[in-house]
Amino acid sequence: MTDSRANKLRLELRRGTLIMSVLASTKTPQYGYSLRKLLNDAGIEIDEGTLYPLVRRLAEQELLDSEWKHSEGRERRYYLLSKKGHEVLEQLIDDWQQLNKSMNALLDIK
Amino acid sequence: MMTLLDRYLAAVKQALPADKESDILRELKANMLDEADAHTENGETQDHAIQLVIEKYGHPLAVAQSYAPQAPLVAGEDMPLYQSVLMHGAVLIFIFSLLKTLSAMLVSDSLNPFRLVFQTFGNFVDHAALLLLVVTLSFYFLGKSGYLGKLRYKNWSLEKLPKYPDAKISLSDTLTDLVSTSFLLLLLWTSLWMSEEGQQALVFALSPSSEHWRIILTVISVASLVFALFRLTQASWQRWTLLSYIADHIVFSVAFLWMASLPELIIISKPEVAENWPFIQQAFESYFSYFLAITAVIIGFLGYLQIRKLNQLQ
Repeated sequence: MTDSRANKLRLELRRGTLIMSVLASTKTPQYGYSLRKLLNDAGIEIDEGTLYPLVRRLAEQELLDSEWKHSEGRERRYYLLSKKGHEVLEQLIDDWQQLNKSMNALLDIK
Repeated sequence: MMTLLDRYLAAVKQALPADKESDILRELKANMLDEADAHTENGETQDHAIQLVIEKYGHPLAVAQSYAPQAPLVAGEDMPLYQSVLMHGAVLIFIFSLLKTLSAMLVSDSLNPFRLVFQTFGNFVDHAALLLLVVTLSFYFLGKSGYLGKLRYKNWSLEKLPKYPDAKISLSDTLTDLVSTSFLLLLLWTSLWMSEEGQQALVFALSPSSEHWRIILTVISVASLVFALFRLTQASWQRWTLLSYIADHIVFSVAFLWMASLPELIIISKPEVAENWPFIQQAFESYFSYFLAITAVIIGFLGYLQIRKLNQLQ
């Protein structure tokens, strides 16, 4: 398998988990760059061209609340997990744990 | 003077929807400045940091597309139906263009095959462009309203799965049937669409004693035309559709054989032609019956081929 094909598969595998990562990381208010840094520090590398549009989409779906604030002499849009986002995140975590269990069994990971 | 960042944002703005552009650009600018700040912390100058961030973001159209993706005119899941509608529409337009050219040639002085090809092609291209526009816009608006989504898988059921999916209905056969029956109808009813001068210029006509054949041929041609249009909606044969198709061939074959046996079916309607060119009348009287009989045999043979196909559907 070529590297580019493997990279595409890896991206597909990560895509679903990114939403969960973003929701889990916005339990405290985050602006775009701070969120990206937080995810990178947690080992989830995501480029700006993917993260920022994704965050906007989640806000449009009312999973995140957003608010413009001035900090460090600059305006920034802060995102915070909404009530609906909390409920969705809970469901996703349950699904993730179930899936993880199944996959571990399937892949024979102890 | 606009900064590099402002010029970049202006380029992104070009591809953003008007109702979202100010909000997206405001957020994009804030994010890009934060990214640039991270570079300056690593020792880059502000201008160079901005340049690095812009280069990382890439083409303005790609950035605009990621923030506000453009909905396709036709959704991927509607493409099979879209292609099918276009294909069938193109077939009908081709038939219409061919008949339009043929009917124009009937009333003209010459029968030029190049004119037939080029005029048919020209007519087809004219109408096909309109078809493409109308079908695409219809799919866009019906898709946007959610109607296509409801319709898409509505009529599917286990019972409707084709019994013989490999017995494909040939589109070219259907096309040939549509053209030939439509042209026959045009020939039978020149009085409905041709000018008086055009009718007077016609050399041949049904004899008064054979007028009832106009009705008989009209009935079987219309039935055949409707059945051919129905076949356009079907992908593969069923036993009853193939039986109907065989019956269609038998009826035409019998009708043509019957007409071949008649002593005076078609007459030369212009006496001056018969007087000035008597060989035309002689040739016509001698060979027209053979022409009809051969046509009947060909249609009968095509029907026989369909009977063999029917046996394979057992």
